[in-house]
Amino acid sequence: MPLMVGVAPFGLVFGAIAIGNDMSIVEAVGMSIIVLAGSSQFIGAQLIGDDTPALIIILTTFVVNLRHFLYSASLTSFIRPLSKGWKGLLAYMMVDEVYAIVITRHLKRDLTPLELAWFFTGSGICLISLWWVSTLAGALIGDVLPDDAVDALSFTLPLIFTAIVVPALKTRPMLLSAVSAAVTGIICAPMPNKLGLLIAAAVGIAAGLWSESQATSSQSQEVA
Amino acid sequence: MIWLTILGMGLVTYGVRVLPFTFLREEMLPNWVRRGLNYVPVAVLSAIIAPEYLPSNEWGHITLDAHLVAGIAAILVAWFSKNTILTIVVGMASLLILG
Repeated sequence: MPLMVGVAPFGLVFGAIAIGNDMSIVEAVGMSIIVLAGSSQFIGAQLIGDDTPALIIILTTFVVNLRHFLYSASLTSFIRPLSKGWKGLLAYMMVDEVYAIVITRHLKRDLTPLELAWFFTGSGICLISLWWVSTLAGALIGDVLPDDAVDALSFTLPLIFTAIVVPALKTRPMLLSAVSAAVTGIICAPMPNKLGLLIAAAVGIAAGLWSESQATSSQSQEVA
Repeated sequence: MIWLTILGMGLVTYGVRVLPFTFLREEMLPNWVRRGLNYVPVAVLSAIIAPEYLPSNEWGHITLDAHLVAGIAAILVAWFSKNTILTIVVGMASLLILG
């Protein structure tokens, strides 16, 4: 339930921002149905508004949603016995909020794979239908709001991401990864086609890995 | 063109989600790739956030304005409160008051 409270405002904001970036109401709702991934939809709408080439937008979406690979991978033990149809359906519904509910239940180990699949579907239908409806509502509102109100609203995007990232910076590699991605992102921002975003992400990942390997090697030296 | 973009975004997103359920399993990836995946969210989101707070339109020219103050306020609130709604409200209010 608290997750549903969280989904609706973001759907509203996404719908409004999509309209602010010259997308139609049908395209905004279509993106919520076809892509179904909050953060990458916000970024996608913004990039579409900036006339970024499709290939760059798709590549950025891929990088932003790579974390879903980890989500799916952590659920394979319960997914494996299920049919192909189930696997296909559950993969579609694997959004952040649904994953959070399902992995919590999965770790309790009190349901059979089929029961958990139905639990997954139930949670998915609740949250995803809410995402669609709130996108539609946001798009309808965005259509009548003045342009500068929608522009101001688009600043909620970095703020939402700040609220996600900052509490995750608990270790030195994570902090270094974030800072180096941020600095590279600022330096490379004038690059055409938002290429700077992909380069900054790569630098951040590399910095995190490097810092992690430094920590491991100094630990092993202490042991020696 | 927008529909083509949306379709492409949908395909890569679905692909990433469905692969571990079908043939590609996490154990099959090299160790450094698996560890690297942990940094994807933080690195990508930081790369998106930073130029919103410190916009720069040409090489070496960074704009210092209300966006930066709002950003710093949001980072501090997120760090100490870990509250999403409060972070958004404080950041948005800073921008509207100063901007």
